[in-house]
Amino acid sequence: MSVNKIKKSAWVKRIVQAAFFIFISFIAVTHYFEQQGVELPWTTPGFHTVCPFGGVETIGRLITEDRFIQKTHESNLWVLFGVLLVTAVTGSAFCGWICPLGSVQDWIGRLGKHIFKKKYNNFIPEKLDHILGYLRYILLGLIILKTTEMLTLVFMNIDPYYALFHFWTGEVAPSALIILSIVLIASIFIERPWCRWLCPLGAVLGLVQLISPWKIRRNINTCTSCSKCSKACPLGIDLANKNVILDPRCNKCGECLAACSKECKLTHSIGTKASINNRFITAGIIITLLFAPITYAYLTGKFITNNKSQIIRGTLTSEEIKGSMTFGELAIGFDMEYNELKIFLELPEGISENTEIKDAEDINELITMHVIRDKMSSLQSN
Amino acid sequence: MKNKLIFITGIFLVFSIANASACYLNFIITDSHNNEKTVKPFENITVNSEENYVLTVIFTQDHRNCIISAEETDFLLYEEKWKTTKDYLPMQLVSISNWEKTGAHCYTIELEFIPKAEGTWELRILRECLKGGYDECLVFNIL
Repeated sequence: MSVNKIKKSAWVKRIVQAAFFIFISFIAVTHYFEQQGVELPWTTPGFHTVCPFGGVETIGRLITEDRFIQKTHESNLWVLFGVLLVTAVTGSAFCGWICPLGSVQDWIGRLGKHIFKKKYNNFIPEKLDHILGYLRYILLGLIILKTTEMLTLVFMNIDPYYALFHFWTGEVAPSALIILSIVLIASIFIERPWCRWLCPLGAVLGLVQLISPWKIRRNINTCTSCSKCSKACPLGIDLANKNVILDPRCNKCGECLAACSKECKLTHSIGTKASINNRFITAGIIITLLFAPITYAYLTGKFITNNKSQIIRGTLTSEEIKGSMTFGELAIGFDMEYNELKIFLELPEGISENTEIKDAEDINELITMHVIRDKMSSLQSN
Repeated sequence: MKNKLIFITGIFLVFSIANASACYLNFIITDSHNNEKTVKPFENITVNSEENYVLTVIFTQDHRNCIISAEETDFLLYEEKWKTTKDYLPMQLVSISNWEKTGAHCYTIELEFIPKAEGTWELRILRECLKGGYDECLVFNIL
């Protein structure tokens, strides 16, 4: 593919970034208004339930107790699976193409480039930049340990991603707002400061991408060592002195490919084969790999985003009745119609099929859980 | 100067996460001899029947300005609302204080109870909310 075509296709990546930013904003905004009581014609999953890092955070408790950390569910694991699939195949393209926080840093970075020109991205000594990159792993370890210990999403206290989409709600911890502000301001001086130094998800993906067969490769036989690729790299990776880019910070943004001065000296390929320098194809592969597991889970009912148990008709026993179940769900569990259950339990007015069982006694003090359990148990015996 | 700024930011970050006290709900059991023990969900808590215990629950909002008040926290014993009037439940609730604001975004309640029926019983603490809420169990093993 010619250099001009590679440069012109940069807009493909920008569109993909913008689309995901809008998509995540939509989820954050609509879910917030849903929580405030605004009725919408659709149900939006919670912001936390579709975060891939939530899948990482809950792993400790899943392994030790076979339970999820509060606010995380099966949906987090499916999204994480999609992200890991993208990363295992194409490298850290999730970071470069999809992550909304990365995209915002990119957009602010364009302002920094305009202001500082050649000085942009050169404020931090290379050695210090490299050392700071290890902070990601320290932060990742700390988050996993603390989350497993406290059984809650402690990262929310400093998460700039959560703060970015919720700063307007009044719900965000001041520490997270401070971190977000620092990240956005730093983006004016250096490209993607959060990604290169602190992102715990990036730390995970940086390790996973080592198994990706597709890598940025430099043809040493034809390279003129002009170093344009190194200068173009937003994360400060020294491509010009490497044959294969194994740096975990590489997010496959493709800027090095676009900057390469001779046609196709740098490639994104498996060895000398299967070169993907075309951003259209890259976008298609990334989106397909990300959404394939999510779509499968959604269509098979496995994309669970809440604590509610999935009631299968006619399979409930009296011992399995939960206080948080509704009377409608109870009817389904015992393979009854709601009206039939209403008569059987002698439910008074004021109790509907959407009333949770635990709340029934607040409407009529005689309708308590143990009364309901006894009656349903007798129904089972008959 | 810029190196100092980066260093301070890094320390702030690590400090914030290392000292995260925003454990959504903390639980402390105090026995009749005033021995306190912090307990965690799904950890087996051994208690003796017919002895007095106090369960202190400390609730910290992780979403500021949470629309679900502390009072909307449900305590379900064997999936039924735990009330002082219910002497048929495996643990008799003797008294329950009001939720008190004990810090910024932090509320505390005390529940005094007497274990009655031998066996293993789950006290479910439930806060229902579209943002995920809270749903955990304390597992009491009554001897």
